Amino acid sequence: MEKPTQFELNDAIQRWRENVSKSPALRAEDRAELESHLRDSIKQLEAKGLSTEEAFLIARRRLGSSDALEVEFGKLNWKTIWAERAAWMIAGSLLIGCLSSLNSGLASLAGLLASGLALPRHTVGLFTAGTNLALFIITVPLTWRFLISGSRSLGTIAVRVREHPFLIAAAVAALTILSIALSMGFGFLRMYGAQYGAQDVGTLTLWQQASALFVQAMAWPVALAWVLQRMARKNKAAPSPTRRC
Amino acid sequence: MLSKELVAASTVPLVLSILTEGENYGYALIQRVQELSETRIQWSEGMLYPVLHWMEQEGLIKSDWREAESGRKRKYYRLCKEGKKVLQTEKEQWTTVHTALTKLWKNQPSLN
Repeated sequence: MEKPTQFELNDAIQRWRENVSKSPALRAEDRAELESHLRDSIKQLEAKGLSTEEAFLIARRRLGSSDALEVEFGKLNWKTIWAERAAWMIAGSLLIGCLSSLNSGLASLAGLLASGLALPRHTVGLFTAGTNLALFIITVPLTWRFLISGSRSLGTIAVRVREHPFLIAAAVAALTILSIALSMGFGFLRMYGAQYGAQDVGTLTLWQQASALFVQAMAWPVALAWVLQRMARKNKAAPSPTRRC
Repeated sequence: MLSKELVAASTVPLVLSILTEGENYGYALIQRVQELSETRIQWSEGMLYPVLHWMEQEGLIKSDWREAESGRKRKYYRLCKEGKKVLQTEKEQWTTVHTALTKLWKNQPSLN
């Protein structure tokens, strides 16, 4: 059963470190200190005649589970935890703003194009609103997918951000600029469309705004509920003791 | 084995007392406690570090990273002035309890 040649201590420690890195409760320095402890403990156990793999497993167990460590360190580092939560909330709301202005901008562009086809005014309006909702239905799950699935899970992103805190600052700045640029860009396009004889830009804008309002008031809560439900299902699949301080 | 409450209460005086012997790092502190108590005091190892960090926040001890002989870095803790004061108080309190219990148990030979 024993395969001492296949056990690579540094890889095992690397995996352990990635596992404890998932929590903001432990700072980089705390992880380094725990790793130093783990290596001391492994050395001691090896000196007693255990194989490296056995020594690693016992040392890791004696150190405590990452959940237990998270709880104890969390009591001390609660400021870090809340600062990170706040940063994520700000980044999230900016992302929502970005998606909203992208969608409603694209919808009004579609409306402008449709108005060139000399359709009845309210058909154009409904078309604009429909495009807005359709874009929402397409882009939000896609963004969610992109953030959550595969190797780019939020946890991995969080670990990267924790190592380079300026990443999140850069992301927030980029999102803000993108959001403003998008709404300005589409504003210009609307003006341009009005100049070149798109019919009744007033009604069009009104429909566009109404549909954006509808999407924001109705579709976002539905999307959030969907996300929360998915998360709840995921948590049920992999039970973990309640953490947080 | 000590009760959970007693382990929690005795961690700070134990750490402070061991550090009076000279600066030390987490793993060695645990080893020292096991040796002193003949392994009857068992700390969950990872949990010592939040306690050490709390003690540092309270100004009882100070820490710095230094390279050990092996070339690896370790975080060493040493006693501060405030820590010595707290240790003095702890010493008086634990001695009070110890003395009272010893007196009682001396008069009750059935307990021996």
